[in-house]
Amino acid sequence: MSHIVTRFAHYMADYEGATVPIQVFDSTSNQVFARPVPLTSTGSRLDQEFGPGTYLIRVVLPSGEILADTISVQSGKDAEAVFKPKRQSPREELSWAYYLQKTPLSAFERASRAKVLSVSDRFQDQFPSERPTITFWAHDANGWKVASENARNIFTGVQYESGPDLEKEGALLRIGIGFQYFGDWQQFPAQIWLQARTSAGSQIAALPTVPRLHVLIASDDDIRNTMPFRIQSSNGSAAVDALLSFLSSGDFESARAIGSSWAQRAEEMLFSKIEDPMAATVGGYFLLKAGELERLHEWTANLSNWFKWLPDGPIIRACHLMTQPQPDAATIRKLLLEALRRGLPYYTIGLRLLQNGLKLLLQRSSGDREIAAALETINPYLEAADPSSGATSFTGEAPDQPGIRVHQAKTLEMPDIRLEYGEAES
Amino acid sequence: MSIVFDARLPPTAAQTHVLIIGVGDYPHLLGGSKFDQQPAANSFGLSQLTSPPVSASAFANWLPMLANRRTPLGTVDLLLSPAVYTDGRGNSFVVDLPTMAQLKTAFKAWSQRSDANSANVAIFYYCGHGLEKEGTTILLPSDFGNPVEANISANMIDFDLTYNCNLLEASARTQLYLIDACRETPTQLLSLRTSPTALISTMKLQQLPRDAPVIKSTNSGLKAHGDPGKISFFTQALLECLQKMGARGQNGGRWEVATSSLGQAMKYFLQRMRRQGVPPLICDVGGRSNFDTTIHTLSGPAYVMSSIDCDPDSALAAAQFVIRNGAVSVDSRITPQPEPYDVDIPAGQYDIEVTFAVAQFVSKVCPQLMQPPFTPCTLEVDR
Repeated sequence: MSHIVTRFAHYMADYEGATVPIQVFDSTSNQVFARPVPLTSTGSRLDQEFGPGTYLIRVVLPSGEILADTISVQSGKDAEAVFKPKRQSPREELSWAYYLQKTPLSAFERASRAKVLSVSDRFQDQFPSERPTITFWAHDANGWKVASENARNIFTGVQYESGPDLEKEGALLRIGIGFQYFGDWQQFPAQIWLQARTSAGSQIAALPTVPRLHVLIASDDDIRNTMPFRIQSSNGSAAVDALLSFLSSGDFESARAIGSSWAQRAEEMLFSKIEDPMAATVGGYFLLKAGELERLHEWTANLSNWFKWLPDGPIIRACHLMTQPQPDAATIRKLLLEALRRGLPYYTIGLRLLQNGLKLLLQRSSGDREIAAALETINPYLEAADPSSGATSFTGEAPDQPGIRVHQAKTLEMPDIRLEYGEAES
Repeated sequence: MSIVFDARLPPTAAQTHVLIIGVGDYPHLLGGSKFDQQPAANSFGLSQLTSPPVSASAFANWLPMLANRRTPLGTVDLLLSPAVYTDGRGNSFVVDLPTMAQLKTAFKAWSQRSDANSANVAIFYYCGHGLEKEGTTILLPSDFGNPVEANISANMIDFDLTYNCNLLEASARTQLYLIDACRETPTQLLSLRTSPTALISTMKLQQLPRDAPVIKSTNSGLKAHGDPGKISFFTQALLECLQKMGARGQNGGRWEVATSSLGQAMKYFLQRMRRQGVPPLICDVGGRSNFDTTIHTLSGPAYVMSSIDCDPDSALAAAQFVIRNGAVSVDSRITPQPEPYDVDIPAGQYDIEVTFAVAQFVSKVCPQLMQPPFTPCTLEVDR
């Protein structure tokens, strides 16, 4: 019997060891191994022995890319499976953006796609020359206000980086952010958002409250958007990044593969002290969307009550209560309204759950003006939001002025075939 | 209701209940039979469609082949416009029109059938015009735009609220929703002040575990595509993945299609479908899935979507591929091309031989296992 060692072809700096679902199949197409495994450039030994033979090792990256390697295992000798993704992060420290989240389109791929689609000049030429200007916003009990990078009760530091080596891989600007942690995230003063503006307009995204955060402003291959760029932010841990990406893309099976063991550990930690409220938030969303509802326990009350700057806390609490027998509509109503009072949910999943919950309540009680008003407030954000982004991100002039994603491309009128961009190739 | 398939199982027996809607004929939109006398005050630029009734009928015709021992096919309710259904044997039937009123009735009945046993599988399929506003998917019944209805939203379906209400109302633990419709937001829609209507309402609030994915034929803000009068690309993907490409794994030697593997397989299938002049096809999977469910067992082998290329990339443009199972050649690409070699092949073990027309690279034979739904294969080539 022997072992299989899996190795990722690229070093991922702080994200070495990101857990991903790995499957192993034998030559008769039977699955003989399926567990989350750390993805490392030095190699991870699967904790199982394999007999001699041919095996397929397949891994699903949170970016959506599937990697596979067919190897031969010989008796008494470890065999290595190497995974080399097609897209390579231009920097090790950006590996989270390229492997753990939806990847920005590289210049080569943009050019190739443009050739096939006859994409309008707007999307070929406008990107990526203009570096966006950045504004930070804070939301607290008094509403929205601009936050200074020098505010020491919020930031420990903000660093910017741009340049041709980033641009050739589709990245306009890289920002490193340190948030001030006084030993207890309950003391954090506000919810922080980032606004990126160019001459084409403005986009605003939530910044997860973690000690150290990376933001990448990159080309956006989602050409529905009026914006030529998208804002990606890390979530402070590879596990959270990966889980959020799988949930956002609807890959529930992969989310369960890595989420279940993680949730078990989190359950034990979260009951008494929530050290990482963002991780707890994503864990809560995982359990609601793809996990075992029975794992939602009273820690959701702590998440809601202890972190007054976290709108997602009351949303998760409300959804948790809805899994109980005879949920109390009044309590759920109060929690959803509290969520909106605190600001906008950090995560797009939360934004959708908030809208869903408000609509459910309104259809039960159509005369509820407060719920109707809450929907009037939240709906424009859903209209302006980037639905593929894990962290809430929307177009708008200011956080309280969400914009509209209006599709501007040319169309060719043909029955049942309406082309998105330009003319059909004949 | 127009039940086109009824296995006449006891109502409380675990089974699969399917509701299929195909809306092609919109009388009040441009080109419709009532457009001259009763045109829609605001059509949002929409007109007639020819693919949906064909697509919906194709799905209905395939369903009797659904093989699921735990939850066999129980009923198929079908609404079409035009309201004529031709079954797999060529027999034609009149079915209910998918007007708003008929859809509410049919949906409620389907929900109640599904509710009879929590082990039931409930499948909802819609093909027709769709829109999106404020994150909500809006489906349009055949009488959309009827000027007799003063509130235009009364004949617009709020799919998301319908979905969330039905997860509460119907105890069927597995509910699969397939939406083959555009999701654009016409600017006139943004000024609409009233809300679309759900097909079902509920006073329940308790959320129970559900396997309830929603698979949509395009992403938010985009169009869905299909050739006129033919099965849409999304429905083609659905049928191919149910029949061959969407397997998750084997159980007792038989390949099973699950809700999870179906959605992922359809994504890859659509990505690989390339049509001249049509943008890259996509598929959006959302909803909620607290566990996975087998919905169909294949009668034959599972097929694998594979993409074969070379490392370094430069070798690909000179490569010739032959895929062998033992001594038998099962597929090949002899003319070198710069794009990866996409192939659909039964699951199993193969040898891939790569040779080169240039002396720069060394030919080799690589053993390769293929596992559904998608197995990429990168052959490392020596210079």
